[in-house]
Amino acid sequence: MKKSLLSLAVIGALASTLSATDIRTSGFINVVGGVNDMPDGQKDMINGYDDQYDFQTDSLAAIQFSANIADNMGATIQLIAQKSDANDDIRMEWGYVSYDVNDEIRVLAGRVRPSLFLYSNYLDVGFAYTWITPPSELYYQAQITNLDGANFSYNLELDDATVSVNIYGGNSTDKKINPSDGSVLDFEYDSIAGAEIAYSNDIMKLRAGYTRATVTNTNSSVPAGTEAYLAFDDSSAAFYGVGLSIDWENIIFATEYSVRDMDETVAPDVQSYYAMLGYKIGKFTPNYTYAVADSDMEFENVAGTTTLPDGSVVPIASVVNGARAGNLDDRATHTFGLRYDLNSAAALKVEYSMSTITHSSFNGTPSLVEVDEDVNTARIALNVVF
Amino acid sequence: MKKIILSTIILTSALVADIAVIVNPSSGVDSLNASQVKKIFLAKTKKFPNGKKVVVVDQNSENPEYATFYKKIAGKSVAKMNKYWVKLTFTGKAEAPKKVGGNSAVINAVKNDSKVIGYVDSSAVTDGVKVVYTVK
Repeated sequence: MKKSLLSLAVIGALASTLSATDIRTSGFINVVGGVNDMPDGQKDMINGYDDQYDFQTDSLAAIQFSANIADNMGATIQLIAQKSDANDDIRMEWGYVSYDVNDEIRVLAGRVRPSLFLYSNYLDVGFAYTWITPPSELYYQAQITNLDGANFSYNLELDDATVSVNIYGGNSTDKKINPSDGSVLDFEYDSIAGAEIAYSNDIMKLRAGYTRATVTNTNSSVPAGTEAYLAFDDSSAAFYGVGLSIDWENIIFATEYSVRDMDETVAPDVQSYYAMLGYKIGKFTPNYTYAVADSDMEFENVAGTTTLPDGSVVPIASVVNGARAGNLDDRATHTFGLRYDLNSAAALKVEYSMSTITHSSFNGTPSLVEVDEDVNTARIALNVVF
Repeated sequence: MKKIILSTIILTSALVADIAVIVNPSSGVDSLNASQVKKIFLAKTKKFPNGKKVVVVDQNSENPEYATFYKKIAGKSVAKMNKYWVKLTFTGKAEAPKKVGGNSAVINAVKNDSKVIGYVDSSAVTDGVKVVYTVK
């Protein structure tokens, strides 16, 4: 992290001295610390926290450079240094050429951010929203944060509102550290295609979106014979949902509903939703969020045995059902938060989350055994933009 | 405390009376309406109504002109304007206009470039710029 931050600073300094054309530099930093009350040696699978204070998981530093190439053409690069990256290095989160066809139509080509959810476009910019991070119950469901391809946007300006349509496509690779065991998760998303339509005015934004992709896990191994049921191998995934945010006088409100629809893999289908209400009192914004992730999977269609290439017949139903049930973690979280705006470019936040995680296991009868676990997580964050 | 706040308000409103939106006389623009001004300054259009390219220069956000102007044309506080630009910048939709300083810096920028639009305290308006809209 330190090394990455330093390199970012060097790149920043170089860019500002070398810039013959007008390069604009901006950036943001999130310093986030957290701890939970899980038993020693256990980790929260979703957000990566355990009973040791952790200032790395959610902390990041980003720098963004933009340059105008011509009146209607620009280039933007955003670099992010973050510990949860598998190689603990700097990643190019964004790198695109923008072309304004006219006031309404803008085309981005290169590495762009798909607008899967309400806050996806500025997911890393903690300063821009009320929480420390948007509810993981929903945002964890899709790991695609950028794609190499293109984004086409159409913005229709009405008198006091904007109707916008985003269409994007491309592919993406994602190397993240698995919070549960520290292994590297290496996913490839291909044939990503999605669209979003949004209506926004000075106080609210209403949006709906649909995104599909095929998922391949390039470094996982599943027991022989279970590939058809468990492996990510060009498996199709779809994400769709609706969202509404309101920022009206002292009231801040946001809600989203999203569905993750998976092909046959070890990952379940998930429905997730949340609602957040905040109230601005001067520089303070106390807020409350309730978020739910509800996962679901079919168990009936697994064959009892399968024949391997060498001719041997092996039982797979219990292996497949056991692995799938192990991923069926439902989750419901109450979060109490407080945002304090230090100035127009920095905010300090504290959050206390009370989660109930329902773990499933398969007892072979066939039915699921569910066990509830309560986890309380405290986090503190400093968000800065520049 | 109350007295101090009250005198600050009086002082501020005395400092910023009307705000004049100014362009270069050779821009070919004679007047703009409230909706056109809002769209230009919120980066929702990159052109004057006559189709020519427009470049916005902004006041520093600490200036009273900044707070008054955006409150009146867009109903947004300084904090909200800041969040507005953060979102646009980090979603690749638009860049915040360049902040050049105060009234005299804005006037100089407008004088030097027919594409530039800015806003200043109307008492600061000088020769060499044209007022196309007044925020009261």
